[in-house]
Amino acid sequence: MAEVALSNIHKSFGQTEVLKGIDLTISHGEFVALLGPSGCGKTTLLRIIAGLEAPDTGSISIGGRDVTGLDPSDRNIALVFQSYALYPHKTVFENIAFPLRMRAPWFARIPVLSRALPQRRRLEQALQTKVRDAAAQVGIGAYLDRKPAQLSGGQRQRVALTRAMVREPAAFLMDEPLSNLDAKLRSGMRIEIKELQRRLDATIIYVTHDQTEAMTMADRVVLLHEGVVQQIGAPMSLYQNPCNRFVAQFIGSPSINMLLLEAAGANQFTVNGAVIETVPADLRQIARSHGGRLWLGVRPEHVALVPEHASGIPGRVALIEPLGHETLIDVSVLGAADIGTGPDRIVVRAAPDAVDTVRAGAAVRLQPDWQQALAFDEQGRRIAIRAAMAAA
Amino acid sequence: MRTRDLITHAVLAIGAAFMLFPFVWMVSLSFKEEFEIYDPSLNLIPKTWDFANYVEAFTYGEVGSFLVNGLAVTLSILALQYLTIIPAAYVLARKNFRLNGPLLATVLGVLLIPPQVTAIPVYIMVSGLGLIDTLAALVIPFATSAFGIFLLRQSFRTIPQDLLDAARVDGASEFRTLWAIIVPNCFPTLAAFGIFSIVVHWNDFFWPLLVVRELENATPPLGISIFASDEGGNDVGPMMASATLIVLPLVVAFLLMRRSFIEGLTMTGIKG
Repeated sequence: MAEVALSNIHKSFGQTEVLKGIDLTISHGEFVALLGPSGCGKTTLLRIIAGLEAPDTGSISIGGRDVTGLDPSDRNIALVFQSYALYPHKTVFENIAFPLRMRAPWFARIPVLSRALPQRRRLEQALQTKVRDAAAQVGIGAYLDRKPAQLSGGQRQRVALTRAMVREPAAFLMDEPLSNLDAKLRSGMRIEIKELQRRLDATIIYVTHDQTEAMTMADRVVLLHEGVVQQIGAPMSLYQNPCNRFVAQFIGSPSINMLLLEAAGANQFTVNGAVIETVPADLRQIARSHGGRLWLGVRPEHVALVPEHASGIPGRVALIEPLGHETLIDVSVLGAADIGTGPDRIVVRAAPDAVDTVRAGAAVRLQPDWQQALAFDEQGRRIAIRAAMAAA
Repeated sequence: MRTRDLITHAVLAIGAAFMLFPFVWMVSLSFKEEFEIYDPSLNLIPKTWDFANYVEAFTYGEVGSFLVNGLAVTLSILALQYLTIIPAAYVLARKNFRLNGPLLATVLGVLLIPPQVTAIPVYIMVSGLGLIDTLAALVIPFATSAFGIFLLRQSFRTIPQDLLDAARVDGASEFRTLWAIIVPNCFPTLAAFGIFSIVVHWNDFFWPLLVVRELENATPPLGISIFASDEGGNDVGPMMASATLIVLPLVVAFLLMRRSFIEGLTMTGIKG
């Protein structure tokens, strides 16, 4: 087990620059998720750490040793694939034993001939013990004689994990290992992988496009977009304190509501085209200092649905989504589409019983909790409201 | 549906009868005594079963030596072909380099050239090496096969890249990946090619006719023809016995490997 450090990794495929200078240090025993939309370069980055791709520039070190030019097998890492990549012609036992056999002394690796060696028996016994122990830990001890085709998706994933585990690698690299499983199995496997990591004190780098996996399992999340690290931090810090509009919109489901605050007159402000009196003074001031336009991110749980006669952003209920423990209410903002300013949909996270009180098509008003709003400039950069106020 | 099945099977049965008749007639004649062979009636089952033809085939006709030659030649050819086509197919299937396309085109181009076209230059080369009238002359020109390279390349391409990446991370060398991962997963194709190659070279008449002079170096088809024209002009019985013996190994091999053969040629891809 060891620290993994990346410095200034660049990678292009033809004309496309996939990674634009990645710096990242992962400590021993840490679970780091590489999160991002498809095509953001996360899998390429993982393959570079594994040694399956070479970076154009930059260096990789594992456990303080520079491994940039080394072959995957010399890096002492294990890779778990989305497709499991089990060898179809080998039994589960032989699949798990394969990396161990490849690490055996050279004379035990000669095809066919090595079977006649006197040391063979002792090596084979040690190997048997190792494989059986590892398989028992993951609960696949009963399937060792089967072929991968005879196993379910979850069992195959366990075999893939065991094959990674059995050789005690410096770090585990996982490339969307759960995305081929159904939803129920996936949440079970999340817990198992997390427990496995604690038990083995393993360093794990985990690639996923699923924010739930990243948020629930990782100690730190690295959010990648267009080959650039957008933000690195603990899962909750990315949610509560995103550094730009992309992070704010990517993390959180349903995603954050973006409201456009515009100066409409001497002392008048509109939010998504509707004149709103309740905008606090500090937000007005920041909007003025940014050319009269300010993007505000408000999470669905920070918007209140109020009756039509109250003050707020006017809208009409478009869709009600009861999820059991909560109800999501999708409101289309009145007039927004006509005026062409700002997004015309706002999602409200409401209590479960809202499903009984709210009617689709009803006219309503929305009251954002301005204290919780996150401010962004036109380029999508975060504006720290307090710091901006202090400076002003 | 029932009537349609019946018609289908009837048509197939007639076709099969036409194809099988010469074969069955050959086997039948090989067991008949000489006087019965020239009997004008069409008796498929010999009146008396006579093994004298087989004894004669071995004692005078040297069928044993033909069989041994045939076996040595076809197996040597197959071994050399596996040795050359597996690495070639691997490189063409899995490596990206500038010459990959042109090389593959060359292989496909070679497929278009009938062996008779290159027979004379190859004959001159073999003769230059002083190999005329040796078994080596029967083997060396067939040490590789364009068809085999192409067939295997297609099969190797169906293996998911993840599997090869997994093997690399697990510490397998390139050679090991080929030997322990790719070859076992393409076994049906390799077996199909093996049967194909054995059948072609076992039955080959043209090339042995060019390079073999002495009966002791003859492969089965050439041997029989020499035997027929030289001494056995009207010795139909022993000739049919020899022919039966020569076809037998192929029939047995095919029956044993029928499944691999069909699987390999229909090219079912593997799933991870």
